[in-house]
Amino acid sequence: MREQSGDGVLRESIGRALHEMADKEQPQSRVSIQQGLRDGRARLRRRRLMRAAGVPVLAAAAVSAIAVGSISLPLGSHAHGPNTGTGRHFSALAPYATFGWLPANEPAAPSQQTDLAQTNTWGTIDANTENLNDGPWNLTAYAIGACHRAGNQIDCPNDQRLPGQPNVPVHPCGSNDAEVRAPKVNGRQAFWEHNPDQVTTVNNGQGQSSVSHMRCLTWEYAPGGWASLSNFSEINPGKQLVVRIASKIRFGGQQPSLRFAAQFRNLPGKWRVVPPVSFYMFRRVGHKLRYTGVKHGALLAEDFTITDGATTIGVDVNVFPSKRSQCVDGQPGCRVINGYHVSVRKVAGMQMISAPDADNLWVSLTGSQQSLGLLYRVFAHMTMLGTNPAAWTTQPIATPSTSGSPVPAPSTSKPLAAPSTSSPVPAPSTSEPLSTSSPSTSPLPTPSTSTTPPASPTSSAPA
Amino acid sequence: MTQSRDAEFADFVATREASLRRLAILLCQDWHRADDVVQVAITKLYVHWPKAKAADSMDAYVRAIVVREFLEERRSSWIRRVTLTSQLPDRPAATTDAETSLDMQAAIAGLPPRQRATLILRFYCDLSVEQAAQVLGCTPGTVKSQTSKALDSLRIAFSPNSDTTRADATDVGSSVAARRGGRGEEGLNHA
Repeated sequence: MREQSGDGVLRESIGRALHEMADKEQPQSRVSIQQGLRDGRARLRRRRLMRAAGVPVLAAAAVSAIAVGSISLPLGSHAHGPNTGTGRHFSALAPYATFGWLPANEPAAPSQQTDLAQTNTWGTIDANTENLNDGPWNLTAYAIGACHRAGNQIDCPNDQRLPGQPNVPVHPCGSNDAEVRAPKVNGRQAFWEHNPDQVTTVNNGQGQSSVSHMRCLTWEYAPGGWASLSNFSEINPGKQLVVRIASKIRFGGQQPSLRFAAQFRNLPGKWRVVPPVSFYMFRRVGHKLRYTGVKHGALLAEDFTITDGATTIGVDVNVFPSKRSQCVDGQPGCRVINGYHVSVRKVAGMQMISAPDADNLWVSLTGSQQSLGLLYRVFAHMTMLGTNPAAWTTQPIATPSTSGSPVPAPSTSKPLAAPSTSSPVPAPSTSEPLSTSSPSTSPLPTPSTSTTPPASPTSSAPA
Repeated sequence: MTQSRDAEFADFVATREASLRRLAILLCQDWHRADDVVQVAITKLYVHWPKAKAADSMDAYVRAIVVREFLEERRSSWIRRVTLTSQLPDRPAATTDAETSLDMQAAIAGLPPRQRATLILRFYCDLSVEQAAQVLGCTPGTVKSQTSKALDSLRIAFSPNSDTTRADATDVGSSVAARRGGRGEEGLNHA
């Protein structure tokens, strides 16, 4: 080789080497088609949620998080609801429901996965388990009054429809088929989807087929409030099992608030957190954070949305930064704001600025293409709270106190040890809102352009 | 409709899984990472299934997803999460074996990711410059420059006058980039 020259020979050698590498015996595959199906469905659901809320899809990057034992997910609540705590609108600051019981091999499994997202009127929770053949239990719940029953048909708002599509009501299980009566759930009416033994045959590519079962139960969890529970797996879930899981799902009640690892301070205007929001349970193990399968953890909002009524910004906070920023202040598309190296990029027609290592957090703000100036100014008001759940706050948007006291310090209460009584989003400020059209007249200060490196980047090793 | 989509998707992935894994191992040089990339890629394929079916070539479509996922993976929160528990990479070690092919494999493994991806698309997948540019989401000119840089790196690595020994082969990309004072990956658009 060393004595040879010429691109032709070199290219031939490269091709040969690549084919030899590729043709080596493959170890057993860890790729799971079923997992792809499940994750794909979950991602589609989240996209629909985001579209329904008019939020940049990017802010809801597909996620699957290891979380929660059988009892740890706090229940949803909202002040507008009846005694059950469930309401006509879900809160942006609390999940609305949780699985109270799952089959024996599932509860409290350290790798149990949940994927939660909700809008004002509906939301979903996926509970996965370690067993990849055991499909996710998917709960979809609609706010009270959102759905209407006519005979055996339950129609719910199709707010996940694409722009321009007609607003045709949907069935909670995803079809408009007439339902079959099911055993009552906690004394309330319930229905099976038209074909409770629906199966999908899958060719696994080796002349064999596996069968996936779909079963979906719809029931009234509170007067006027409907939910559905479905399962898609290679093991046919018995009807009794589905009913039992449904009966243990808990809605509403006093719940701990979500925690936020980033806080916006002194944002001018009436900014607030709105659905959709996605959240996951974390626990600190030693010096590191883990998605946790135990009941004590901090419920972190990773993807959430803020708005001032005119502009919507997606916020993505990830506790596992990818690597140190390669962004150097002064380079095109790079700048330093509050000591964080921030880079800008356009993705899928959206404008995103991100700091890959902001106090050991990865954070991004995403908005419309015209919002870059606004994103920078909003970022300048953001304070990262690190990876210690004890430092996370329940108030992602902190406004100056009317008494003139400093901006509230991050919450230091013990996360999730007991139901939190913390207040919801603080009252919006009445100061001038941020402007997207004339950044030069914005009341916000110009972002700092100091070259100070981010504070204490300790755990993120270069990739 | 969902069931039909699921069945079609499952059939397609089942028959392509082995080839997708082969492509991924060339890109990632690590089976765990390769399987992760394929897993994410098939999830994206499911999400974009209607678009994939409408594509001229579904194989080309999913290949592009795999390559882009490999290049973009560090931005993916999913990858950031799942790699927490991944095992040590089984990246091939630098070798002093006299076998040229092994040297070449090690040298290719040491190329920067985008250069490696370009070589794989050009010389393993046998794509034209234009086709590779489509997969990478960049211009044909960028593919040419990436190819040229990669070939330069390999040529230098195997040059009798090079101070880059075979044992250094896995660092060939960075060493050449350093000599040139360039970043070696500029010019690619992120799709």
